[in-house]
Amino acid sequence: MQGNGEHPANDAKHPPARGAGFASPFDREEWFDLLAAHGFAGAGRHDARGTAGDTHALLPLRIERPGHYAGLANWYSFAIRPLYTGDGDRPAALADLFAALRRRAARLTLYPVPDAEQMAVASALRSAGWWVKAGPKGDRHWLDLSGLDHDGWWESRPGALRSTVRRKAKKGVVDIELFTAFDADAWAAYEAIYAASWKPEEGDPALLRAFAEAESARGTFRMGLARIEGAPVAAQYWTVEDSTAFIHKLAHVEDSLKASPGTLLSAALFRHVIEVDRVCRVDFGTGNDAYKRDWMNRHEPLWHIEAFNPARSMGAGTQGFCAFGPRARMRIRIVTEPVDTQLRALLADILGLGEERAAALTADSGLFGELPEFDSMAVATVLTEMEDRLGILIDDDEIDGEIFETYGHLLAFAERKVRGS
Amino acid sequence: MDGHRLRIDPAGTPRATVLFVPPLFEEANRTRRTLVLAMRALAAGGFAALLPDLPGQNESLTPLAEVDLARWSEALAAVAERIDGPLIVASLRGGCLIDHHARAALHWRLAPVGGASLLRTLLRARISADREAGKPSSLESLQAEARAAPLLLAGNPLSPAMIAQLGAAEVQPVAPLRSLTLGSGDGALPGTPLWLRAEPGEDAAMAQAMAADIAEWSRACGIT
Repeated sequence: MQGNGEHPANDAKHPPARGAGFASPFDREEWFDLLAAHGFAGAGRHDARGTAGDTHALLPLRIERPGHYAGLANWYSFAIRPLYTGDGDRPAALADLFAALRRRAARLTLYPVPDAEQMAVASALRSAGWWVKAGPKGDRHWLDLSGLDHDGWWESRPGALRSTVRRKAKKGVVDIELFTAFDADAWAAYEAIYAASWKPEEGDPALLRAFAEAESARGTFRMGLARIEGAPVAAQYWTVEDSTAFIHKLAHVEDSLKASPGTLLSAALFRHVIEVDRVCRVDFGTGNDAYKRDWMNRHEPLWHIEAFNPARSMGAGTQGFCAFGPRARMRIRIVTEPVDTQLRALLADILGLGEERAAALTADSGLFGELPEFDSMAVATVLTEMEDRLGILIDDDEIDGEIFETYGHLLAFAERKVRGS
Repeated sequence: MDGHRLRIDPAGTPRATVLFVPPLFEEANRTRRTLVLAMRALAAGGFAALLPDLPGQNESLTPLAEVDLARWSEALAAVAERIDGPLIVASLRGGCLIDHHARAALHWRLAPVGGASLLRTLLRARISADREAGKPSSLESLQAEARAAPLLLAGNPLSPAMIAQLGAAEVQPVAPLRSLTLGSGDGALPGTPLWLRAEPGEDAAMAQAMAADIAEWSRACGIT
C-alpha cells in the first residue's frame, strides 16, 4: 500500500523529500520503511502526496482503520511533519496533498507535530476543507547553542548540576567510553541496563536496534557507556546530523545513582557533540521529564492535530451529508463527542439543568409534560439546537410527541439522525 | 423612534458609550437581566451603557406587527447617530442582524445567529403549541398564512415583511469587529447561552466577562 498511484513523478529517482529547516532521522524514507517493517503501519501504509508546479509534498501515513489515517510515527519519533521536494509553493503543495486525502480519509490524526509547523499544517488542512482541531499535547526540550561554545553553555547550567558533575568526576569511580559506530557488545550492555533501569519496558527493542544499526551505517551514530568497576551501569544512544544532535535513549541502573553515572555520561556526550561534531543544537525529543530542563534551554509544545473530513465524517456516506451544502459543513464539530454527551449539554443549556441534573437523566426520565420547563418553546429550541450542534436536519413531519416523552426516546431519535437513517 | 431606552451612566465623563443590541423576540427577555448587569459593570468601568427599545419592542408605542428588520436597523442607526463621543455597538444573537447600519467606532458581537434559524424555532414553537391545542399546523401552512397577514409566533405578532426578512437575514460585515462565541479559548467568552433558556436566568459572571471583554477590546483599539 505504498503511494496512492496518483503522482507517479514522486519515485525513487527524485531527490529525497526533506522537512522544513534542519534534517532529522525521522524524516527519512528508511525510518518510515523501518516503522512499516516492524508493524507500525496499522492496517496499511499510505504515502499522501500533493503537487504545486514542480514542488511536491509528502506525508507518510498509516491506516488505523478504514477511513481513519494517522501520521506514520511511533513513540521513538521526535516529530511527524510534511516533507518536500522543490522550493516552490509549499503551502499549495501541502493543501493539494490534504485535498487529495479527503477522497480516502474521513479522519486524520497527527502527533507529534513540531511547534514551528503546526500552523502551516492546520491552515493547509483548513484550506483543503478539513475541519481541524489542534492543541498542544506534548513537550519538546532542546538546546539552542547559537553563539555558545561548550564552556559558555556549561556555565549557563544550574549550579547543582555543575557541582554534581565536578564532584563525581573527581572521584574517578565511573569509566566512560564513547562509540561512533554500532558495537554489538555495547548495545547488549545498553539493553541489559535498560531492562534493569527505572524506565518502563522498552517498547520495541528490535526496531530500536535496527534503527541504531542503520544510523551507524550513515556515520551518524553516537553512543556512550558508563562502567563502574568494569560493570556497565549507564548507556545512551544519540545521533548527529545536519548540525543537530538527537538524544534517543538513555538508561542507568538504579543502584548506581550515588555515583551519578548517567549525569557524567550525558556531560561527556554533550562535550563530544559540541566540541567534536560541532552541533548547533541538541534535541531531547518528546516528553517533559524534569531532568531535561537541567541540560536544555528551549521548551516548546508538540501539537496534536485532529482533522475531520466534513464530507465523510458522519459515517453516513458522502452524498447524504454533502447534500446540505454549506449549512451542513459548518456543523461538523459535533461528531467529536458522543451524541449522548451533546444532548445532555444541550438540555442543560435550554432547561437550565445543572450539570448534576443533566448527568442524572436516564432513558426513562420524563421530559415533555414532566419537566415544567419543557414547554412548546423549549421543544422548538431543542430541535433547532439539535440541528446546529449535531449537524442534522430535522423534518418537522418526523416529530411526534413520543420523541419528547423520555430522554431515552430523544437520544434514540438523535442517534438515528446522526447515523443518517 | 419612540425614545424609550435604559441608560446607565458612569460617574464623570464617559470614556465611550456602549450601545447594546439585544437578541430578538423571546431571546431578548431571557438575556435582559444579564445585559443590564453587564451595563452596570461597564458603567463602573467608566463607560456609558445604553439599551434602547426599538419600535415594537418593550415600552415602545409602535405595535410590533408594524415593524420589520429593516426598520429596526434604521432605528438603531438613528440612535447611534445621536450619541456623542466614541461609540461601541455590542450585539448579541439576532441583534447582530440589525447592527450594520449603526455608525460606530467599534463593533462587538456575541454568538451571532442567522435569521432563518431564529424563524425556524419560532415556527416550531407555534406548531408545537398548535398541536397541544388540538389544531395541527405545519411549516407550510404557517408560512402561507404569514404571506398575507401578521402571524402570531411565541406571543409576537410578526408582519409578513418581518417574517420574509427574517428568513433571509444573515449577519453583515462590519469593521472593526470583535466577534465571539460562547465557550473557552481564543475568540470565545465563558458563559451560558441564556437566550436558549426556557425560564429567564441570570449569569453574573458572564455579565462581568462581557463587560471586561468590551472594555479590553476598546482599550486595544485606542479608546481609553
